[in-house]
Amino acid sequence: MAELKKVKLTSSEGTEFIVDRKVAEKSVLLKNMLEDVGESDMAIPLPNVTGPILNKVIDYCTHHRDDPFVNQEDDSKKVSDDIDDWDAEFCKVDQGTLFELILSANYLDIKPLLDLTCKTVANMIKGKTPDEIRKTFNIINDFTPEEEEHVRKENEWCEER
Amino acid sequence: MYSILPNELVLNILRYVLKGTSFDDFKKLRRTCKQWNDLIAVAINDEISQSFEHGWRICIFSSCQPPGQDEAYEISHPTYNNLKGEFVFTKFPTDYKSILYWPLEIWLNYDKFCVSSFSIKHDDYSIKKGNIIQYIDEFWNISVELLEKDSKFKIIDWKVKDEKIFKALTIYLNFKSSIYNKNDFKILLCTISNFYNFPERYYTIKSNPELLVKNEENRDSRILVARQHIIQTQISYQTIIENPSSPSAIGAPTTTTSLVIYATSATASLIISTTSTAPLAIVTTASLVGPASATASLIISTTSTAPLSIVTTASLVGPASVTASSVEPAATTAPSGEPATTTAPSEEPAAATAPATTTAPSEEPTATTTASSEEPAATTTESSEEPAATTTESSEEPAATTASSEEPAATEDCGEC
Repeated sequence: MAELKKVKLTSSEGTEFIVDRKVAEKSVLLKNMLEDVGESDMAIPLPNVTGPILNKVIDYCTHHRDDPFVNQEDDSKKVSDDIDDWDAEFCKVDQGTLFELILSANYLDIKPLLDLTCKTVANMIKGKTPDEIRKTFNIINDFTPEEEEHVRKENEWCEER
Repeated sequence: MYSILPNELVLNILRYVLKGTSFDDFKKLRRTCKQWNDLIAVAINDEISQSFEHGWRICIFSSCQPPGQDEAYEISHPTYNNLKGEFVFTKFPTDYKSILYWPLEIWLNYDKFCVSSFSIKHDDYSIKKGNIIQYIDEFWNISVELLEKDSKFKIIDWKVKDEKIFKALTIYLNFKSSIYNKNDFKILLCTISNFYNFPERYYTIKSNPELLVKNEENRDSRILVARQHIIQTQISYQTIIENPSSPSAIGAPTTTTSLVIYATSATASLIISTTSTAPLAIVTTASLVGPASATASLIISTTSTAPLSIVTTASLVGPASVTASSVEPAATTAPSGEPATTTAPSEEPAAATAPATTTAPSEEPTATTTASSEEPAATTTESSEEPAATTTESSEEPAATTASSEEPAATEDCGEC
């Protein structure tokens, strides 16, 4: 049996992670880099990803290591209520971590993780009013009262339902 | 923390939000902040261009013209203007057929759904050819040019309020959605003679009476069949009850459905069948909307071995002077001691059995809106071809009855035809 190839990854703080190449290749960014570089013991620096977040990303990729590759253009599964139990549990993190995961998934080009984390945030938005959303995500209402009233008026037909 | 996300990723999240909600609920989120106000328009445009790229049609016809002469033209999907709250159509067909009959009806269709409709009134015909005329109402802003030659018609500019399109597409998605469970109805819509080679399509209707009632109340949300697809064609809606909903008070599964089929000179039929062995009560309202020679038939068949209770209302409504209406309000209980067999529509009219009823008044300014019958439905048919083994309830209206329209557009005389 062939020995599983390992890849070294370095987080923004310099923490080193050693993972199976197959796990690393769940990231399109890393897959392309590994293909370009070929066989090498050099650690791949990931300056945009912190250690704890990289750890979570590796957890995700390890769990989904055998999943088939998702077509980048396939939007047919763009519904937010098809999250399986493991993934739902994985996303039970604080808001900061969730947004960091979104950024890392985007940077590392791991579409399933990006989809999962975006779906999770979308589920947090659904059913909430703008006021509740602002409160939940600490979004500043940058409309002037006049501007907000104007938007409210434009929305009148759907607001009154 | 949220602020660390760039626009691209916020937009990605908003797309997921839109996928799981209605357009109008989604639009409410504009008030969240300026960034969302801008991105929501982008998300809507993306959704329209991806999920609703094809299928937009403009249908131009007159309720006075003979069947088979109406025209439908493919048009490109609209773009959304968030600030003005309107959809803008920019590319139109370049060569329309001559308009020979007035007043004109312009329907904006998506797939089989009429998203919005507009009437160009009879009086406008006298407007000098070659002029550009702008029609504006609460929902439409359309500029048309009556060409000098051949009474042709050309659309210059066309905007439709987002409210119209959002509501229609939301209903459309509800029908198409596969999220409904086994208690839902599956509707098979097919053109029997397939005159226009229209593909068979399955729709799922949530077996939620409230939703259906709501649909019925909302004139835009009825099941509208693009007119051109049913000329000389028979439309069949087949309802397959996979799993009747929970037992009602009388111990029988009860299902309620309501369908409105828009038709002109077509024949439409609603067929409801079940293989349930349990007692089954079906309350059905089938309405066929259209002028003169339209015929509606309602066929209920069952293989149920238990008593079958059916309350059926069938009505045919349409523009004045060409509309028939029939209703069978009485409950027909047909105890069946032996398995019933599938039935075919009754071809010949039997004795009329029920008085006509009226249908809901229309709020739409179109010629194809609801009219109410003021006369007893002499054309209503209720027949049972096989008394013991078969339970058949069918109504056919050869449109002999004159009904009055509550719509000005529908009651206008047409001087041209």
